[in-house]
Amino acid sequence: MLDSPRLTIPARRAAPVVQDVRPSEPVDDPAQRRDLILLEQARSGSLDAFNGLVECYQDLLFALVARMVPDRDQAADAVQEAFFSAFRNLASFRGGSVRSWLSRIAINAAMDQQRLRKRRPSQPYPELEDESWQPPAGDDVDPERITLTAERGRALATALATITPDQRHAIVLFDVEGYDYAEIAELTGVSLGTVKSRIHRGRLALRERLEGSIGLFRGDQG
Amino acid sequence: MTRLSATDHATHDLELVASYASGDAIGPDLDAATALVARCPECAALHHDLRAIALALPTTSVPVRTRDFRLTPEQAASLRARGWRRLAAALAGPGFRFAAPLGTGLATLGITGLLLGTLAGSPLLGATTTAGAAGAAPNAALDSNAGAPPEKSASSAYAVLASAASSAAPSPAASIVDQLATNPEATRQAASPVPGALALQTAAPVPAGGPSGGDTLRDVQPAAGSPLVPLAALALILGLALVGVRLAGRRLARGA
Repeated sequence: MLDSPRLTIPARRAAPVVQDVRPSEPVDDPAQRRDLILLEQARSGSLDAFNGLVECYQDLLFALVARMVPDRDQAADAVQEAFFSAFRNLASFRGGSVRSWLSRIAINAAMDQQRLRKRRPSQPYPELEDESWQPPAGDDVDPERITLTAERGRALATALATITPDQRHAIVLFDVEGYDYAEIAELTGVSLGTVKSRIHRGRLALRERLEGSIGLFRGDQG
Repeated sequence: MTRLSATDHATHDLELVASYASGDAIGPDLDAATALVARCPECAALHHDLRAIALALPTTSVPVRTRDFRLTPEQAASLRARGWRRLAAALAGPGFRFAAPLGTGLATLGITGLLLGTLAGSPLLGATTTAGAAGAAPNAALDSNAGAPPEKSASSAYAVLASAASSAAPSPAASIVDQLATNPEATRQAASPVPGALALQTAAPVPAGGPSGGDTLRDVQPAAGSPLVPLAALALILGLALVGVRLAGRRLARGA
């Protein structure tokens, strides 16, 4: 099995899209234009405009933070704190992507949350049956495949909750959110080498924790 | 190809295999990792699993939020900056972004101006023009007039002190000048030879016979009247103040 053609190494994933934060760039993206208008109105004192931004991004930010912070209540607190921080610091927005700006604030809030509650025991990820967790949307309609994906997701989520926060943050940001090494290094305040090391060790730790269910992942690569 | 046993695998660098699986191994590491994966079945399995896990990670379930994060008017009111927080936010904001570069530029100009003024006023160049010279000027004047009659040398010492003090207002020289102007006794004491003053040889050599008070004043006055030093000092203070205010504003805004 190990010599099977499946072991050939496929090309590495496509490079993540790095949003250009230069304010001089013309804004072509309608969503970005909308965000900038809402942000400008919020800066002028419109709470409705700020809440418009919250409505646009609360799902995305909660999904991001909940992957980084295993406990859902803590994750919700971190997201709320991120929006508070964004509201307080509307004046410090320096142009570029509002989505990136909010994501960075949320990531910092998630890491602060982890640091603050480091000594408290974290609860594991909820079971998949919990309706607050949904499988990712996709075109896949094969029931068998959906079940397999769901099983994998549950196993991965449980394993992710048990590795160290530093490794989890790096893996979530790299493998799930698509940030590149340099961005993660900047976000987490560590060197590029440390980011790589955390990702490599984190994956090794995940593999160790998935020992019993590693069969779910084999035979479906590339 | 030679296969390695499980015993060998225990000694293998698993992080190297993980690095290879991420596509990060380069150079000798890449060669070593390729050899490991090719020769050790367990390393090959590990490599395969790590890649599979990395590919599966983006497909994990999406957590659905359980709370509405929109701000209520009460929350917004409590979060809005007031008083010093508003000021700090304004100073930290993009509207005051110019402060740091402008302040740095002004401070640089100020330092440069002060340095030029100091060099121009050094004994080697034969003039006393700077604020730094303000402290040396009284002693120099006292030294050069040590042999002159008390009244005459007292008036020239006062003139030198006055001109030096005018180029550096917040200096000890200013208070001395005031003292000399209001107290004739102090003026006479200042004119008399002082050992400490005699020891300092910072002034230009005095011709035999001694210069008149008017000569000494004429030598010093043009340099003291130069606007370079006060302007440089002003630029330095203004620049430092701008940078300081910007930094303080950012720090306060971050802490608020």
